[in-house]
Amino acid sequence: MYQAAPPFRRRSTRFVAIAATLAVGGAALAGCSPASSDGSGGGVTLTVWHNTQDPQAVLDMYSAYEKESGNTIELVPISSDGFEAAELTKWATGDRPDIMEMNGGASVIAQYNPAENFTPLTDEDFVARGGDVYTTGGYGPDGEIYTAIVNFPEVWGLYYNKDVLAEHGLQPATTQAELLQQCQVLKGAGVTTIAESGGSQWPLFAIPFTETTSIMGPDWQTDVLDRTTTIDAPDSPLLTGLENYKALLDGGCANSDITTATFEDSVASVFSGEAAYQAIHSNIEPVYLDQAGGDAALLGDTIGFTAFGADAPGVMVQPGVIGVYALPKTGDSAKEAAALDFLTFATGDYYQTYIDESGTFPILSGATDPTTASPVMKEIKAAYDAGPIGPLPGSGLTPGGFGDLLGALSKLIVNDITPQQVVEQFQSHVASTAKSEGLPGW
Amino acid sequence: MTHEQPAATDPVRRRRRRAFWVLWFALPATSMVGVFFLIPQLLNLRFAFSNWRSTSSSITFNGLDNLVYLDESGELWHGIGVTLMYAVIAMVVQNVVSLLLAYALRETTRLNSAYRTIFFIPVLLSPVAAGYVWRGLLAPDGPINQLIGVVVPGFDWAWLGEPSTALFCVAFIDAWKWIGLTTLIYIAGMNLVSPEMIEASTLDGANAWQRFRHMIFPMLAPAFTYNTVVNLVAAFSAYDVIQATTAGGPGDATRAINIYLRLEWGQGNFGAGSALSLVVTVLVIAAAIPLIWILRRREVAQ
Repeated sequence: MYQAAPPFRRRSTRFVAIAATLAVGGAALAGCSPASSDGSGGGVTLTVWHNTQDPQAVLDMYSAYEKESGNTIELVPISSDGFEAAELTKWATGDRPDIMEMNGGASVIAQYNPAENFTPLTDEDFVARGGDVYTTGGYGPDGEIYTAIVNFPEVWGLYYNKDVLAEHGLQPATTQAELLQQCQVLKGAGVTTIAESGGSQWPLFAIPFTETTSIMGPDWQTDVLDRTTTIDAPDSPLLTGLENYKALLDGGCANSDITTATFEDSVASVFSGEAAYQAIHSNIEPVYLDQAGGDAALLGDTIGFTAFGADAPGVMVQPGVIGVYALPKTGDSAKEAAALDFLTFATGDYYQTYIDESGTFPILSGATDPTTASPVMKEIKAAYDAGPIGPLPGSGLTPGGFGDLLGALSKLIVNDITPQQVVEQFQSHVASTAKSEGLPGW
Repeated sequence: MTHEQPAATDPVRRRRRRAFWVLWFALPATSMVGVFFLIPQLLNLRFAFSNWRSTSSSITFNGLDNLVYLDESGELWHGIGVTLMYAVIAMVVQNVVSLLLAYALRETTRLNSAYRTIFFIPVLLSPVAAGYVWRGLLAPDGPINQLIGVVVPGFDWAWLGEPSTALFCVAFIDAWKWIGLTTLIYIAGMNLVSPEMIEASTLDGANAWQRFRHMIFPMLAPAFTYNTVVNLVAAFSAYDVIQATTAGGPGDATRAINIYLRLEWGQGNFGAGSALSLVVTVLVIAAAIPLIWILRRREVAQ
């Protein structure tokens, strides 16, 4: 039979329960102490806007940080399709994350008015360890570094089919002249020299921009902004890049379905040997791997990668949209400190683990190459190391980005516009944006 | 002895009470229109005449600067031209094909019901999915070219990659997607024509075309008004099908206003983007009001 406990005993039971709760809570608090000034103390929830195409290695990095710091990361997915526009739209609503994965191109960063909205990272250790990669992006119009580049950047060059070149006794082309020369041989054999992807539009940048980067010199963009030269000048490197590209198109070196082919179509075309080359960036390597059925050795036997330029080989580099982070100013010092702590973790203690797991190459000093990289990725890294590396032409010109340069290229491939008209249009865009931004001298 | 009239039978009170309830019932719909249409339009009106850019936190009135910029860049008039062409092609294709289908499927039989269902399936597809499907069908090495190739060996045409055919093709895809719905509306209109009248006219010697032209088509006037206006106005908002098929290309052949809007928005030119949005609204109003007025008069005349 049940007997009610006497009052004292009941009070005593309650006391024990409260004491136990306090003890457990205290133990939990001891393991999860209040956020410290450097954000590493735990207990902070960080909102991260991230690309839906983040590979597992990046997602694991978030989990590892949670475990290490005791902080919580709340991922807010931003669609990888139209990522930059989707993120900018979300930003325009006034919403702000604590950490923002973003395109690290200088023109994209400039769109966020970084001096006002982002925490400057110039003095951080990982920037010093990043070296040249921060000359290709990650900075704002004021020259401050506003993003941490964790992932290996996009390296633009030519993927090629090894068998096709070998069959015709050709070496990988590294200049415009070589490519044009090989075009005559390949065209005669019924092979498309270069598979272009007007259906996806953005890959149309690859050849003219890579060629421009290889000849524009480090000061060209500054000179344009200082008004000591113009984009549509007769000696404009962009004009040369576009004219060279047009020469390839007029020479019948591109695929007949250039206006509709997507970059995936072009990957398939090069992998199958229908086309010899594709000009695009290194992050497309997994698409090639898919074509090879996930067989990295087969991919390495079939596909190679080479640097390419107008007169000499070079690589155009830009921080991509994966593993590049900015820290928006939120006014919450604990969260801002924790966000910076995440970057310190990702580029410090965890960096080697990330490199090993992702199979990408380190760009920060102090880390070693992964053993798991595919042969094609090794060729990409070799091209990056050989250099010279340069940014996307125009990426540092205006906060308005490239304006409608992509539309102009789309018109160029259907002969609706000439290279001269393209550069005039771009010069006009730069002038218009520079004026509206109140840049000095405009 | 006086008797007060019961409240329920007092006509004035009854009318008031009914009006009160009518207002309550109208409240949800009115609120929806207000929240999702009127307020955004009013807010957009403000932004369309502002210098709102992502690079600055201040938003100030800048008069007609956005429209001047869009005019000088050529986006405004080219976008309007493409949008109008797209809307007219989509509206004409949709109405002509739907009328023919409705005439063929007007009788409710088991076979016709099956066909009606089949033609309605595209309505349920998302416009983006429809765009991707047709992009594959119309690819240079796609099934349509292969089919034509049976008759014309070696036939090769990039339907979406040639400026001369791309706009027609994307407008056709839009029309194809909505034909099922338009057809059902026409069938409903045709079923209002009594079979006795048709039979009488047949006995009087009217052929199929005469029956359609002089008896059925006039009775379709309300359906025709609805389909024409709704199809045209919906096509003014063209975006998803174009984005999924050509993304505005080749060149700028299929760059409707909303494609330009997205480009401006993507560059952080929110003010210019809002101005383009305002242009779409003005186009819709400018086209819909006179069209409804003309078609309504035609309905009355018939």
